[in-house]
Amino acid sequence: MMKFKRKFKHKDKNNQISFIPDAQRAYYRTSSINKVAKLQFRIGFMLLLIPLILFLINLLYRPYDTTSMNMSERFTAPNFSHWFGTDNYGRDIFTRVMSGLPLTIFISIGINLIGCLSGLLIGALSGYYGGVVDYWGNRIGDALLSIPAILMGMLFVATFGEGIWQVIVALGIMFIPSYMRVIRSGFLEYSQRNFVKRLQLIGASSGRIIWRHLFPQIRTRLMSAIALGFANAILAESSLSFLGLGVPMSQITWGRMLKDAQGFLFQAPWSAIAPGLMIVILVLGSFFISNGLKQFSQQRNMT
Amino acid sequence: MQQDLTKAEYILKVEHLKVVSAQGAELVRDVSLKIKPGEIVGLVGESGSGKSISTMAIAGILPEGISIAQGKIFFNDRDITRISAQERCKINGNKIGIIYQDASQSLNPLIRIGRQIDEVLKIHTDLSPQERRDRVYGTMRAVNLSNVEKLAQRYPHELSGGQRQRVLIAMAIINNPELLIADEPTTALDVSVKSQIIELIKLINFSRKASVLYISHDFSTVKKLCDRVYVLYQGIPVEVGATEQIIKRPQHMYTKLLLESIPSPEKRGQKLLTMKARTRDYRGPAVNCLFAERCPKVFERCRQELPDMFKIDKGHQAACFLFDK
Repeated sequence: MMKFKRKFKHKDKNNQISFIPDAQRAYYRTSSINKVAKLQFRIGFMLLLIPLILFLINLLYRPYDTTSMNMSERFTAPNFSHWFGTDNYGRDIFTRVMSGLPLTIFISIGINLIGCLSGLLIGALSGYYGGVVDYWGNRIGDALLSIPAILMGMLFVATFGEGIWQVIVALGIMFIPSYMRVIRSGFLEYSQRNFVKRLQLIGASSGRIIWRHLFPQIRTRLMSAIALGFANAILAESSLSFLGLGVPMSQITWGRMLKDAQGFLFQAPWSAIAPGLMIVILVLGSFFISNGLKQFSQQRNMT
Repeated sequence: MQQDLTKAEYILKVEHLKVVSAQGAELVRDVSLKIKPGEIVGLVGESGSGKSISTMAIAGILPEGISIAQGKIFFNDRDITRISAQERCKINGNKIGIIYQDASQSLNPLIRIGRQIDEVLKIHTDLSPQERRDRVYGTMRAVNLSNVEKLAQRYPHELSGGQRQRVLIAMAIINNPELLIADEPTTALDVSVKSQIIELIKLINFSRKASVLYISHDFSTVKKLCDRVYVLYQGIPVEVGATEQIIKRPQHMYTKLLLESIPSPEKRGQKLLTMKARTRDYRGPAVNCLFAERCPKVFERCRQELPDMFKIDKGHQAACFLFDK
């Protein structure tokens, strides 16, 4: 009997014994949505840990040179000295995957930065002001949406030549509409709330209402959009590089590596598998985190 | 606070205000009202009579597509119908304090109460953070909130409805406005809290020398609070007078019927009078008396002309041909 009772006794912060039944306690602690979101966060972070570890190793130690060729070791299958095998020039794929990571992530961040900031500007203004501003904001979004990303990439490469910045700017512009729509819908929703009217009544300026009051409301939503955009940017960069429109030959990104592996896919499948797998891991990881964030924000909206 | 050297006779003077929607519907047809310094004026009317739209026009926050077609609004002898957004920001929250209906929706759910009240000071004054905090606490106490240090750290959803309404009132009066506009501040509240809020508005009027424009459809609160009352019907004031005159000796048929339809102990056992329902929602220009279709004493002239305000008593006017002598 004593033992049974003790099970229900808990001490709270002030070291006082409280008698809240366990069932109730569980209800307070977590709802089911919270659990799912937590699981998704956990999986996402675990997946993202793999590229992070690779990045740290890359900073400290590279087993092989990334560019020097070694013809005697062409197309070596994965073994203990070359974990992921070698490519057509006998370069170690593990080293190349590791050293391709920073640039891949840099490009992805750059793309999202351009897309998010411009999307925020257009989306916030059109969502808050509505009317004519909203009309033209939407038309800009539609116009951008109607251009295929590959065509935009070709346009930039044809005009400015191959390069990292061309890829970032071209894809960044392509990412504006998706961000714009997320942000616009958030601003549209919250600018109809009564507190915005109350803010106008106390004489708050439009800038103040937009940045101090409306922007924080959509922050979680934006975070999940960024996590998703991050994954999409890696994919978009890969597909551009795959078509040969991406970063120059001398630079290593995972998309570039995939493109190089295209020619001897049946001879040495491992040269495509390693970068492809890394892309999958990174994309999945940020996708899970994005989903978790989305569920957290939904839960917050409910309460 | 800044004092105008030449004190205006009327703190707020609205002249022939007409507000129309983009489709041309007349939401407010011809409203004229005057508020003297220190006066509490009530604006009464049924839903859709243009009470809230009039206040929005005064505050300059008309929704998109709705605009002032005619008329002028003078605040301290200055026309505020066509001022710029910056000028508007200087007046709202500083010289005109506005309490909005539906307190639960009027606070930003992500920001603590204290900071939200503080924001009004941040916008309009350049006090130091210390002074601002003292003033926020002081104003919160003035609106009968207790335990203010703790309350300031709370989020809006942690407060009760009455507390939220008090917070909104605190925001409206923190800059000692000359005019306080209360747009149905008691709608979402229960009866006991309602009377507390009414007392509070009275107190603010007395202690801070603020004129009050009180908008309501509830005669019981108007009776307790107001010095003068405007009765609005379909965007036109039909009767104006001191509260005493309006409540005790209503002259216009609309006011009479409105007051008759309030249940009271004296009318126990009798059938309550009800008005004929409105047959249509007419939003075109007014050419005849708008109340004619529901008026029990309607006669030929009502269907042909629009009545002016006819004087009945000192300060008591009604827009009805019965008083055209």
